[in-house]
Amino acid sequence: MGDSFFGFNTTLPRDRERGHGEGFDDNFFSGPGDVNSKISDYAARAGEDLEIYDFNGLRQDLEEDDGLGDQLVEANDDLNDITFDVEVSKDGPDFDFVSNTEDFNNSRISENEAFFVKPKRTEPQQQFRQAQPQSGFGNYWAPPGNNYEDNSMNFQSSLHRAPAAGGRGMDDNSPSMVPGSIWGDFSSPRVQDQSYAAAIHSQGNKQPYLNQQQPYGQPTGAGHQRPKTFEEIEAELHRTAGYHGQMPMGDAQAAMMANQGPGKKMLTMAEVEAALLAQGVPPGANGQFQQQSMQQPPQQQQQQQQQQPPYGYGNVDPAQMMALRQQQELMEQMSVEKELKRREQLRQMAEKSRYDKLMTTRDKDFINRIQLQQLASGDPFADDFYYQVFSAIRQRAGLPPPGANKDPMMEVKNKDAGDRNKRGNRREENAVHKMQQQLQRIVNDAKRRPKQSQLSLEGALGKITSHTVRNPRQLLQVSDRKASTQSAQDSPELSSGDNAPKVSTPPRKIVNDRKKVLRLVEDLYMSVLNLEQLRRDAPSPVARAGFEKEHQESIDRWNEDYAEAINKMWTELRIDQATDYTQGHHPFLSILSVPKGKKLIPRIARHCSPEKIYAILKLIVTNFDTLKVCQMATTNSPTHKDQPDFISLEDVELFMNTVVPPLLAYVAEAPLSTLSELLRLMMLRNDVLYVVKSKVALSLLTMFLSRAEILKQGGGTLQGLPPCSPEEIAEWETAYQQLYERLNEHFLSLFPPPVILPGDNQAINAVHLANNADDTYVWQFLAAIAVGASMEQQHSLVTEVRDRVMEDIVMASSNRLPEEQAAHKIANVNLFLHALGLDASQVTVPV
Amino acid sequence: MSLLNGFVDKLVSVITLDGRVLGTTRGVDSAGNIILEKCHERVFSSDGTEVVPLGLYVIRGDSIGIIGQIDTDAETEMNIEELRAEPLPAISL
Amino acid sequence: MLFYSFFKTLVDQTVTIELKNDLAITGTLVSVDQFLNIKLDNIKVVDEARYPHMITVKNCFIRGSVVRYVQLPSQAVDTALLQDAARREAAQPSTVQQANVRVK
Repeated sequence: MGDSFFGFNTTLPRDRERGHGEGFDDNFFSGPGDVNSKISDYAARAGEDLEIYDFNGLRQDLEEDDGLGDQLVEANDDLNDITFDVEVSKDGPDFDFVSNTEDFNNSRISENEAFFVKPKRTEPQQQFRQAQPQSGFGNYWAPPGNNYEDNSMNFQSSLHRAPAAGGRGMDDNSPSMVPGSIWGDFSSPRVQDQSYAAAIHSQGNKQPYLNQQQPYGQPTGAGHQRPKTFEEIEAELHRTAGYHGQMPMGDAQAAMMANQGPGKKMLTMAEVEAALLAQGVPPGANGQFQQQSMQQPPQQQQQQQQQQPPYGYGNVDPAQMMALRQQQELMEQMSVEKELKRREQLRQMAEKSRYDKLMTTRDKDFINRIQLQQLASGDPFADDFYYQVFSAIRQRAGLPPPGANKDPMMEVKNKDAGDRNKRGNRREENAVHKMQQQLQRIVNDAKRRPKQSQLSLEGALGKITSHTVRNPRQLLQVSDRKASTQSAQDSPELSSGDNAPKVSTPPRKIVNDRKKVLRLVEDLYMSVLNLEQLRRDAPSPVARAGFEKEHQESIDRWNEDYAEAINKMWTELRIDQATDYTQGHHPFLSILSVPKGKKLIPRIARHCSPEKIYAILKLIVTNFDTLKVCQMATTNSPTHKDQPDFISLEDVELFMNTVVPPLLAYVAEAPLSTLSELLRLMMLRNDVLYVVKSKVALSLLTMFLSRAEILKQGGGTLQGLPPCSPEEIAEWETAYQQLYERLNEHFLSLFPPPVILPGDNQAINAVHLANNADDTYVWQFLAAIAVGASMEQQHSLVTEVRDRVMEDIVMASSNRLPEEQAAHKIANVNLFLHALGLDASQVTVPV
Repeated sequence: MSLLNGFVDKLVSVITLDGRVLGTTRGVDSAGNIILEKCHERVFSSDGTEVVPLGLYVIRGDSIGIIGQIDTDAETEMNIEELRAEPLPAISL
Repeated sequence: MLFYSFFKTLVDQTVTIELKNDLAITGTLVSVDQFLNIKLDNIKVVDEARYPHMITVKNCFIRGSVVRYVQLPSQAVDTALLQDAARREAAQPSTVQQANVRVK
């Protein structure tokens, strides 16, 4: 660093000790290339079109050309040290204004003395400007240095001194001073920006007070306030008494300062820069920053608060100061991040809430209503079937309905549903109630006028089609052929039965085509759905007081409707229709041939009287051999999957799980005579030996047999049935004997054939056989038939299946099977053996 | 749209059918149009994300794909410009 | 309305929405409206490494028109009931029905 203008070394002791790169960047001025690169670097970062200043040249200019020094009053230079406080550098981030000022006071220099150069102030400043017309630095630093030496001295040192001078002579905090106005007479804002940018950069973090000026910014000064002259500033300074008076401040500020503890730090330049960057404002763009800060008074105040110089320091010796400073720096580093984040959040909040509540609750409600208007409907089951039924099912299962209390649609019809979730306070309930009323009104309105899919607007040519959820834009136009060309009566076999008379008109053709079967099933589904809906809409059994008559009427009406719907469904089931063997299957059996037809049976059965179930059962029993699950069940093997008519095990299972249970439920309450008849029918109409190979048939037979046995033993009295008459028993015995005779010597064929898995070797097959073929139902049947059998019959039965029994017991005890399966096998065998009064443990296994 | 009401006065990220905008929702309507204040567009690329300030926007409902409410804390912690990602594919309806 | 009704029952379930731009978002279904716009909470983009665009988004609104698939938890769906609902929907004398092809 070159000699200073005044001859003292401007390098601070601290800087000398610390060397480069710390604190003030001495390197900044060390060489032109360095400087240029730094400035351009900065310019690039700041996005500024910054002119590159040749600082070396500048310095030379200062030293050689201006000759300002000659005009200076050189007297009292010995006070410079005090003035600029060379020994104790206090222009760091923690510049201690208090002790600094005290130093000043201790030196017993009056303020007059401090500003002794006042009369000559203006001239050199102007000269300086003339000498450096382009220098942003010069312009920048001219005003704060109201000690005019600042201006005339090597500007490099002025950078160093500025804080000291400012701290003493300038009021850098007071809004009343508006520093911006001081240099409001800048010729070009661009120069100003540049100088500011450069200054920020060159100052590093050593200029605590610089940033304080930024929020107040230039534009205000330029706009309505004339630039303050130095005379005015000084007059103000003089007016104020004492050192506190040097910082005239508003009440708020004073309070803030009073609150400020000594621990409060000042904001370093780095922090401010960081803050600026965080706000997305390049440091050079003070205009923008200004704008923002003006919009956020709280934020601004907060910044001010941060920027207040520490207050209340006593006289501290340099060592202590150093330690304190280091401590502070540490604390700063820790809190800066936090503080910045908090401030950023505050700022964002202020930003965001600027236009809050532009949409009022009313607006939002309005939008809600528009949407609900489309959703609202008088019958939630019509448009919201899945949700309603699903919720009902869940509720029955003891689960909360999905999205409870979230759906206003729910509350239209199910008002009690809304009441169910009474979590809100009364106000909330009020709102809900209001909404309900509103919706009710909307629903009623919608009911009154038919839904328009087109509307004509005044002045519009033609009609405008309004597309809604219910009436979406049509992408395909396909005419409904059936509706236009055929009446429903033209295709009776397809008609859903809407027009069908109560007594079924037998369809001309037997439905055997798969598609027709599906159609039939679909129509049945519609009937069943209709029935279920009727069930849901059933009037409550308890009449409202005073409306008993109306209530009774509505119940009667409902009963009528219900009976009619059941009849309709029954007609569609075509149970009563005689089987025409020449044409193929019975239509009802066709229904059972498709999975969804099977699934329908339990739902149909729910609406059927026992007589109807009996009819169904009779039909099934009579037509067992044409039933698909029986037809192919005897050859169930995975290898046959590709055969079109093959009934898979799943199909059988489905049948067992859907169709059989309602039938069994009926059988479980049937009188003995019915059972005898069913058994006789089965043997009469079917090839028993063929039929019994199917699981379905065998299961039904088992049920008949065991039920008969229960009745014979008087179990029927428990159900309120009269004890079996001897005729009934005789009838049953005849039927039973017949069955036994048919099956005798064929009992082993009841067992399902071994399942052959292709590609498996023999050893594995044995296990697979055991695994796959679950023959429990066969053992159940054997047990059932054994119970009713005479001694001789039992004997022949045992002789016949003895090998099978032995086989299973041997396999179970041979350790070739997993324990679970072994136990299962024993249990199966025991089913049968127990019926005979035996047990598997009594059977000795030949080793 | 009633579903959109919750986003009013919130910082949201809107993924439009072809790009992406960020801003604070100021208003919505029944057709799903939204008003965004202080919009930025985020131009994603594998070199980082460019943030283009846009200002006040009304976005037509049918060009909106997703509206996501932004976690402001996570947003301040993250430097979006360092996010490297290919631009989202356009949504073709 | 069927699917609106259906999706309402899935509220509070975790679903994955696949969008038409191949983005897949998993989240808790908060609500759905008649346009099948969907609101999700606690969202997570499925391939977050590839699509970090929504990394700071915690809940979102997805316009129904940009949804390609919705992956549902199967235990939360009653398919039989859904079939019934579809039957009812098809049977409804609405303008939609008139325009549609009838399955024979």
